[in-house]
Formats: sequence, structure tokens, C-alpha cells
Amino acid sequence: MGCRSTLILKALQGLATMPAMSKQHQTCLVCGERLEEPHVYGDRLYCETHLSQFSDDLAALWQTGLLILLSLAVLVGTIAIANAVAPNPSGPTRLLANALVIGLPSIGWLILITQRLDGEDGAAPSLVSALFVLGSLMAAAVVRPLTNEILALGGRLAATSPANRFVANVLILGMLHAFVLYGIVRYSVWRTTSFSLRVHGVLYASAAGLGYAATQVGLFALERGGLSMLSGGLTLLTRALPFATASLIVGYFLGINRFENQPFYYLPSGVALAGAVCGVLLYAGTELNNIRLNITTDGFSPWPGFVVNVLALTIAFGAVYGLLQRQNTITKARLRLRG
Amino acid sequence: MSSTTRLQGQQGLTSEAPAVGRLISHVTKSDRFASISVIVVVIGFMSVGLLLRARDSSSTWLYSNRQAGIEARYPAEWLVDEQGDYVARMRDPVARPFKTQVLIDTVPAADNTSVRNILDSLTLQRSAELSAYRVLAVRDSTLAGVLVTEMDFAFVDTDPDPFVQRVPVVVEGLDIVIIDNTRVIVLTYMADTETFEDEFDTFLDIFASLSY
Amino acid sequence: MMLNHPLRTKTLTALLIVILMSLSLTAAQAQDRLDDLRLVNAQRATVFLMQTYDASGTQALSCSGSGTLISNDGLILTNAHLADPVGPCQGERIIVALPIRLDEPPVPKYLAQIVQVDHQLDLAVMRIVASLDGSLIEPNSLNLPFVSLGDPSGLLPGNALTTIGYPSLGAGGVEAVEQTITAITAESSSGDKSWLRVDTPLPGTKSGGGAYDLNGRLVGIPTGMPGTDGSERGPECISINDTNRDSLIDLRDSCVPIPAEVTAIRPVRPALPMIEAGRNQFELATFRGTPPAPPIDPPLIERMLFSTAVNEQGQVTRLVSKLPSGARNLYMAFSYQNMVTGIPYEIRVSRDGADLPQFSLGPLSWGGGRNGTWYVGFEDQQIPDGSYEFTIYLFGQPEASASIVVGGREEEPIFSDIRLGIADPSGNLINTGRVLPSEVPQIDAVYQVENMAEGQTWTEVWYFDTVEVSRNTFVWSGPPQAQSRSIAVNSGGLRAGRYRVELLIGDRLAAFGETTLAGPPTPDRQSAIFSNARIASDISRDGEPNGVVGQVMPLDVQSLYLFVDWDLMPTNTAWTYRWFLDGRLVASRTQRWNAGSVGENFWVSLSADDPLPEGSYAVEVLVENRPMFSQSVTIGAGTQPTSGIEGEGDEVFITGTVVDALTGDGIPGALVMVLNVEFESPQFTWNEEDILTQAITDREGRFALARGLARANFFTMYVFAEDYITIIEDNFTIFSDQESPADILVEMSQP
Repeated sequence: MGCRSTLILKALQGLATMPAMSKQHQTCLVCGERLEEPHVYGDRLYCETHLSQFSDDLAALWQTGLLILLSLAVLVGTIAIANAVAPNPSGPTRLLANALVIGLPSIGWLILITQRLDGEDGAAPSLVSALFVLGSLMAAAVVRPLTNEILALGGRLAATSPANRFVANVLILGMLHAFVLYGIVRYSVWRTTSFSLRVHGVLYASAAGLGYAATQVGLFALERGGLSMLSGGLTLLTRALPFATASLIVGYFLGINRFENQPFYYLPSGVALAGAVCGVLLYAGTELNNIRLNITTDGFSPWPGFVVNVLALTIAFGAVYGLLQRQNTITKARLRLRG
Repeated sequence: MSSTTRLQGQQGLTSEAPAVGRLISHVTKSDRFASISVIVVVIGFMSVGLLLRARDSSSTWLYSNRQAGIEARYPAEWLVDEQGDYVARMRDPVARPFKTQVLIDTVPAADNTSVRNILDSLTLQRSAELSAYRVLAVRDSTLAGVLVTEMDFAFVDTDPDPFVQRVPVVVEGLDIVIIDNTRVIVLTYMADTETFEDEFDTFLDIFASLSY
Repeated sequence: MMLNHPLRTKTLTALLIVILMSLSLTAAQAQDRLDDLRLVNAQRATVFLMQTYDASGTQALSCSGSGTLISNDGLILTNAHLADPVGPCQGERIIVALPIRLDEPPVPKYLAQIVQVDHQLDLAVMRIVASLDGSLIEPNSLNLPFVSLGDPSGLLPGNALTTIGYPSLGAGGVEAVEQTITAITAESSSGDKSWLRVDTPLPGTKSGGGAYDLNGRLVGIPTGMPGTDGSERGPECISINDTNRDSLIDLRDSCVPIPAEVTAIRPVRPALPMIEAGRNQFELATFRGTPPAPPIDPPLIERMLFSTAVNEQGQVTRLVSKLPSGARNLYMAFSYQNMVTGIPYEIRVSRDGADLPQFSLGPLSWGGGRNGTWYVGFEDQQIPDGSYEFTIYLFGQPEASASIVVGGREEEPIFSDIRLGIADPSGNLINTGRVLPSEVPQIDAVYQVENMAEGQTWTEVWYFDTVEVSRNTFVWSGPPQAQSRSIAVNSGGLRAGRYRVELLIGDRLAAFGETTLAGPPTPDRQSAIFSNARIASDISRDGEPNGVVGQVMPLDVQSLYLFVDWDLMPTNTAWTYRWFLDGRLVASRTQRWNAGSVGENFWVSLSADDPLPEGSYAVEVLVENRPMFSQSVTIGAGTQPTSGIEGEGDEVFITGTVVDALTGDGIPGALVMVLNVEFESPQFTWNEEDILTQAITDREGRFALARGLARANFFTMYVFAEDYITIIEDNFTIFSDQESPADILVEMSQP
């Protein structure tokens, strides 16, 4: 833990004192080795090894991601069955059920991915875990106090119109969440030797995002003394998915920008896009659930928001996967052309 | 800060082992600019959002009663009631457990009517209608720069429906009495004791906007 | 193939018939009892009433019974003797306890006040006015369960009723008992359907509760009275308070009188004007004359008579001393003096020494006034042969008794159907009734004669204001069946006052008739007691019409005064005034005349704390039940909104729970409101004028909207709660077949 803390500190210090790259100090972007004849790609300098490696894929990432996405269906089925058996358990049972709903996809993914990372792909399982924890800590120690206590957004959002709620979700909450997810990766692992593949952006951002999401919704459930089985369980997932989606987008942009010099607005655009998507999905996750109120319908259903957010995550997952594959293919093609 | 600093990243690894998360210091000017841009953009978006929120939460509506010759601004989306034995009542529909409210009333006054007469009359009326009604203090004070007589009071608000199990709420209130020629304007603020102080600024804003 | 087999076909047919019969039997059984929803609603609307008084610094119970909420703003229908401190009930406060949990004892919640009372019917309408701590309550802020009123006129012996009330002194929950009507008792109090009699005696504390038809509508009030005056402890008077503060509850403490049992149910229909008056918060008042001095002498019951018929004026018209076998009508009438409202009276009937509960009546609260005649009887009932003894009890003590034998054949001479009136020159009565004009030279009493034997002596006696003025004895020389006539003559004109003729066959009173001569005669020989009627909106200090006078009043009037001059009105004559609103009787009161013989500006008034409702009003004055005149007036344009009673059927009352969608926990303090039907959220001005009804949730998130929502309509519903997203539903639909009340669940979520 001490080493990880040092890493973060150094990374943050490095931000302030980072020297400019110059021809006198030509080093590999990934490993930092001094280069006599550097390879240039996208205005970045690489050693030969890393030039050929950074566009490699990380199949484990997509496989575990897909597995988690598919496991959501199983989880929802289990929730539905549990709801039929005990729709509204009380006390510790509720919290335990909520913890399982939150923990199975997030910690499950973490265990799977750390098991699958073998070291040869450049990523460190320990860093993945560290980012998961960092995301979790940021959510608990910084973001929730900021949004709930200082900005008091919960009560104020409730008291305003849907349009204002949408704007606030996008401009305040979405941007904040996206920035925090971006910051966690950007100011820790982004400039280290362990960020050696484009897909590592998605890997590390996903780790941070899942830790962040699990803690956000975990505390949400804890503050309410545990949520009901079906509505509560689905809502926990619904509220967690926007963070996962935002982390995929942030990870993609960080991954691209890490290995190719991009215009200055590239990363801000990526973060803004992630923030907007996160905000829209947070809004949709709550507002779409407010259905018609009548004598026989109670004005709420946990399904619409959940379905929309699952679809959004799936689309984001597919898009990021597709775009990264495309980028990597192009890169490899260009490198082959160079000989 | 050295570009060759080695960091331990995983248990069991030594400084000689393959580095985990070793910091590579060089970044391009564009990277740095992008990094700052992200912060600026996020702060920019959030500022816009917070400004919009502030504008939304401070928005008010105008209450105007030509018959009583009274105007006041009150928080948007508060309910206005003119059907009771008062000129108007503005009520926060979302407040819990007691609906925070401001009442505006006028009482005829003769030349020799004193503020104390008005307050005594209010006390007699309320003690017949409200449970555990107590006057806490009567004093002259300055509110929003105006010298007024104010009366602090408290009572217990209960639900008239005996079948609902609503816990009685201790309500704190404040009357402000303003003598206006042949009439007296009474402005009353009532809120749950827990939120009385929190919403007091709202009452002051209404009071400051009152014209008669 | 198999079905074609004749045996199998027959078996299946038989099976089908059995199933159909079972189903129809089940359906029939289902219709014999109140359904659960209506039963629960009626039980929730049944309150427990306690009259209390200050006993050495502590609140002691004086009297208790049941009552029924008949409006959601706190109108209660109950017995007059439970509400008004008369008879043994001498309370100072009336406490209303509600059945918060149906299976638990009622919980005291409110104080009530009488708004209308009718001692003759022993019914009263009360209104909840304050919380237990004395803080006043705005009626419109109440939202209480209530029952609708039904029509008991079609009920017959054999019909089912469900009676609801409290079976003990507040120690148990509200109780419903299914019963069957066994008989209908006639009485002077309310005519031929004065009382519905039930098979199972009810505990006395159910007096004042409700009897319901199969539609769950209130059709009657179980009525019973303790037989004692509450001065002595006994089975009907229980000590439950330490009223003398000696730390012991014993014989030295005052006791609470409790009726032994209740078997009589007062039909609710005669109470409708009183309920309307209570609903509209009307107050009635009249010119104050000279009130009679309270009686000093003890009550006196005398002249118990039997009859087989009663006329529309409530007079027994066919007196008999015995009844033939197979007779189905029997009335017992008696005269009374010095009676006091509220004292317990009872009529016990025995046959050949054995008690007959179904023919007995009471104990009940006396409501017949101080002096007069009264009757109790049965119509169209089997009366087995035997010797019947009727005994009248006051305060649990026998006061008078009389016997009649049923059996054999009818042979005794009878004078029946006596009518007093003014005859034309050919002898035909052109004006009959209880009121005739004074100053006429002659009044005739015409009657039918049956079984009169030639040579039989008979006597006619005329009384003027209880003083005998003429007595003549004759020997019958006419046919056995005939019409005969007695005449009172004064060529100078008969004086105004009360006339009574009695006809005796031998020593037996065979018939009597009464009439009041009042007012100068009109050309068509009608009585013109009243003249110069006019209506004003106010009265001056010296009793003159004031304010607006005329046929049309502005919208904001709070009172209507009818002024009238009168001439030759005998003192102590019973007279009635009735107020009508748009043709509906909304208030009625009967009193004894005490304003003197002649005068001007006698007034009666109808007033309310708020402006009187817009509509067409009429006031009618009757003397001895004979209409004298009526006067009408219109307030505003004369269009009256739908009566509450009529409107209730088309509305659905909404109750429900507001919960957190994610935890399922109730949200306390949430505001649920429904806009008037013409508003949707875009048109809502956030003015409470636009709101039809609203409610705040309790600690469990429960709420009940005070007003019903009209069926076959869309409404806009808002649900507000701090920290939750406000629900705005513009299409809250109430279908035409929606059951009422409807219980809804509202789930709110946080952003």
C-alpha cells in the first residue's frame, strides 16, 4: 500500500514538475529508455519494442467485460427470483443482498481480470486493484461529500424541474464524475510504464470506474439502511452503470491520447463526452423509472432506466471495442508499411 | 523528481524486479495544455451548471393583491392560498413534516390600536385553535433594515384526520406587525423547529419584497 | 359419443342443475348480508359517544352510547338522549371516540356539539367542533369515514339488517350483528313505521349506532334508554368513576346508566330534514313568548284505551274494549300530563301473565311533550287469543296499566271514525280537521255507529279547554249500523280554543275527537290565523323586519326572518314551521304556541354562520299539522349546487400510501393533492383555489383525500416530498365502475 501511495504522490508531483520532452532527452514514451534512434509515431517517441506493442489487444479485457455484461442478465434473474421469495427483507438481509448485487459484477470483474493479466501484456494486476481502490476512495472521501454535503445536490435536484435536473445531471454531476475518473487514471498510471497498450486506458479506467461505481451505489444503499430486493437491486445497478459507461469513454480517450499526440481539445472533448453521457444516463436512470401514476399503477418501475442504461453500456462497450480495434489495426498497418 | 525513479508496485517485487507503474516524466506541450484544458472545461461546465442551479433555486414569483394593496415576491412553486381567514398564505409544498409557510394578513386599526392589542388578539385566537400554543417572546427588532415588532411563538401541529398516524410536529413561528394608517399588516412565518432557521432567509426575502 | 348415452346425459344434466342451484344459493346467500367493504366502511364510521361532567375536579362519565358519522366533515347522527343532557344523561361535554383499529376499543379524539335535536324522534345531529384538548377544528379539514343514508320505507318484517355499535362501555371494538326485522311498531312519535323491531336484543351501549341495509346504507338508529334515572346503582346503572374522590368505586359513587337491551330501531327517514339542517349548519329560532312553567306535579298517565285504527292525525278512531279472534291491528292510547322530555318510559305487554317482548317497547326517552295523548300499536300482525295487559312504566316504575281480551267474535257496539268539522246547509262536512276557524256558530262531530242495539244508552260530552261544557245522555233508537252526529252550537259564534267531544256507550268511552278553533273564518270557512306574512334578512332591535325585505335576497345574507301577524291563536296549540330549500325539506320544528292570542310581527328565522346557500327557500307554517300558509324567497339566482347526499354516489374516495420506491418505507409529511377537474398541470397557477383536495401523509406514509373524485374523469395529481422527485400525473383516471374507496400506492424516487 505504501508503494501505491508513493506512486500516486509521485505521479501528482510529476504533473507539476514535468520537464518538456526535448531532443536532448529522447526517451521511449512507454519505458523511458534513452533512445539513440527513436521511432516516432503520432508525434510520440518509442523504442522498437513498445512501438510494436502499444497497438496490441488485450483479449482478457473484452472477454471479462463481456462476461460481466452477460452476468448482469443472470444477476437480474436472480434478483427477480429472490424478490419473489422475499420481496422486502429487512435489516442485515437487505444490506447483504444489496452488497451482493453491487459486489458480484464489480469485484467479480476485478478478480477475473487480475487473474487473467499475466504480466506479459504490460499491465500490472496490482495497479488494476489499486485503481479500483482509488476509485472507491475518491467516491467515498471526495465526491459524495462534495455532491451530498457541500453542493447538497440531492435535495436541490428534487426540488427543481426535470429540465433543470437534466442540465444539472449533465453539467454538474456528469462532468464531475467523468473528471474524477479521468483524473484517477490520468494522474496516476497514465504516464507510467504499466500503461503500455492503448487498451490499458480502458482497463485502468474500468477498474477505477467500477470501484467508483460500487462505492457510490454502496453508500447510496447504506445511507438508506438497505434497499428492497427488486426495485432497490435494479436501481443499484442502474445507478452504477453510468459510471462504468463513462469510464469506458474516458479510458478510450486516455488510451488514444497516450500513444499519439492529439490536439489540446481532444482530451477535454473526451471527458466532456463521458461527462455528458454519464449525466444523461444518470438522469435517464431515475427519470425514466417515474412511470404513470394511477389507481393500479404506483408511479415507479425500476425497469426502464435499467434497460436504457444497460443498452447504453453495451453500446459504449461495443463502440470502444470497435474503435480501439480499428485504431490498433490502422497502427499496425502503418507500422508494417514503414517496414 | 527523477525520471529514473523506480517504484514498487506489487508485493514481493524489489527495485531490481521489472518496474510496475514506473513514472515516465516526459509529456508534450500539447499533453500539458490538454491536461489544463480538461480542468478548465470541467470547471467551466460545472460553473455553468451551478450558476443555473443558483438562478433556479432563487427564482421567485410575484404575489399581488389589489384589494388589499399588497405585493410580495415569494419562492417559485410555493402554493398560494387566499381562501382562509387571511389575505394570503404561501406554502412550500415539499417541506416535511410541516409545510413551511408565510401568512400575510391585514387587521383594521383605530387611532388608539396598539401593536400589543393586535398581538393579544392573535394570541387569543390561536390559543383556541392551535394545540399547546405558547408565546415565546415579544420584542422590537430590526428586520431587513426595518424597525418592527415581532412575536415568537410555538405550537404543536396535529393532523385533523384521526385515522392517520401523523406524529405531532412542533412548529415555531414569528409574527411581524406593521401599522399602516388605518390597518395593521401581520406577516407570519411558520416552520418546523428543525428547519426554522434554515428557511428564515426565505422569510426575510419575502419580508424585504413586501410592498403595501 | 359418450354424451349420447341417455343415462350419462341425464346424470350430467342433474349435475348441472345441482351446480346451478348451488351457485344461485350462494349468490342468494351473498345478497343476504352486507359485503365486507361496506361493512368495514360502516364500522369505521361508527363512533363511541361519552357525555362527561366535572365531578369534584375529575371528568366522570355520565352517559355513553354509539353514533354514526354521516359526513366526512364530522356530522354525527345519534340518539337525542345521548347528545342532549336530558333525563339521566347530565353531561357537560360530549366526547367522540373513533375506531382507529376496528378490533380495538375506540380512541377518544374529539369534542362534539349538538346542532339539531328532535326529542320526539329521539334523534340528534351533532358536529365535531374541537380536539380533545379544546382547540377548535375547521370542519372542512376533517376527513372522516362516513356512511350514506338509505330509505327504510320499503323494509318489512323478514328483511335483513346489520346493526353496528359498541357492545360495551368502550372496552371492546365496534361490533356488527346481522339481524332480521320481526315487526314494525306504530307510535305517536313518527306514525305507523315508528320503530323497526329486531329479533336479537342488542347491548344497551349500541343505542345511537346504526342499522344498515344490504347496500350498506344507514336506514335506522338502534334506540334504547336506561330504565332508571341514574340515581341508584343497579344492573342498568354501573359505577365506573370515583366521583366522590374517596379512592374507591362503590355504591356511593354516581353510576352510568346503561340501557339493558335495545330491540327498537328508529327509521332514519324522519330525521332527513334535521340532517339537512345540520349539514347546512342552519340554526332555527322563533319569537320568544312566555315559556310555560316547568311542571311541579309528578307525571300522570291516565285513560288507557284500545283501538283498532288510527287516523292520519294520529288520533285513535275505533275504540274497543275487546278484540275478536284473528284481529291484526291493535293500538293502545293514553293521556298524559306533567311529562318531562328525556325521562325513561316503557310499555310492557304480557299475555295471560307471560311477557311479550315483541309487543313491548322501551325503555325509551320520552319526547312527546308535557301534556297530550299518545298511542303505541301494531298493524298487520298476528295477535293470538288471550288476555293482554299493557303496563306503562316511568323511571322503571309501573304507572298505569290496562287489559284487553282477544278472542271470540266482535259484538260490542262501536262509535268509530269520528271527524269534527263545519257542515254546509245540507249537513255535509266542508272543512274538517284539527284546526277550524273560530267564531263559527256550530261545529259538527260525525261518526260511524256499529253494532248498536236499540235502547242502548249513550252519552255525548263536550269540553272547551279541558272544561266540560255540555253533557247529554240518549237512548239509541236508530239502526245498528249508521252514521251519527253530535253538534256544538253557539249562535254568537264559538270562541277560539280547544274543543273535545267524548262519546260514551254506557260508562265506556267509545270515541273522542278534538279540534282547535283558531283565527277568524275566511269566506270559504277556512281558518285565517295568520296574515301579512313577509320575509326579511334581518330583525331590528324592537322586533321589526330589517335589512332586505321581499322575495329576492342578495347572495351574502346569513339569515331569513319570516314575520307574520296572528289573530285568535289559542295558547298551547301545537304548531310547526318548516323550511324548504329548492323543494327539499331542510328544517322543521314543532312547538306549543305561547305568544298570546293576538299580535303582530311574530317571527321565525333560519340562519347560519356563513352566508345561506343560494337557492329558492320556502317556509310553511302548520297548526295541528294543518298547513296554514307558506311564503317563498330566493337567494341569489336561485340555483342550488347538488346536495351532498345526492353527490356522494358519483365520487370515489382515495386513500393510499406514499412510499420510497427503493426502500418501500412510508414517506411521512408528503403532500398529495388533486387539482380541480378542469385543470391540468400546465394550467395550474399554484393557487390553492385550483386544488380540489389535498392530504399530508402520516408517519407510515398513509393519506386519505378529504374529497371524492368524480367518476369517469381525468384528474391531475401532484405528490410532493422533500428530497424526492415531485410526481405530476395529468391522467389520474377514475373509471365509471371504480369501487370507492380506492386504495393506491405511490412510489417516489430520489434524483
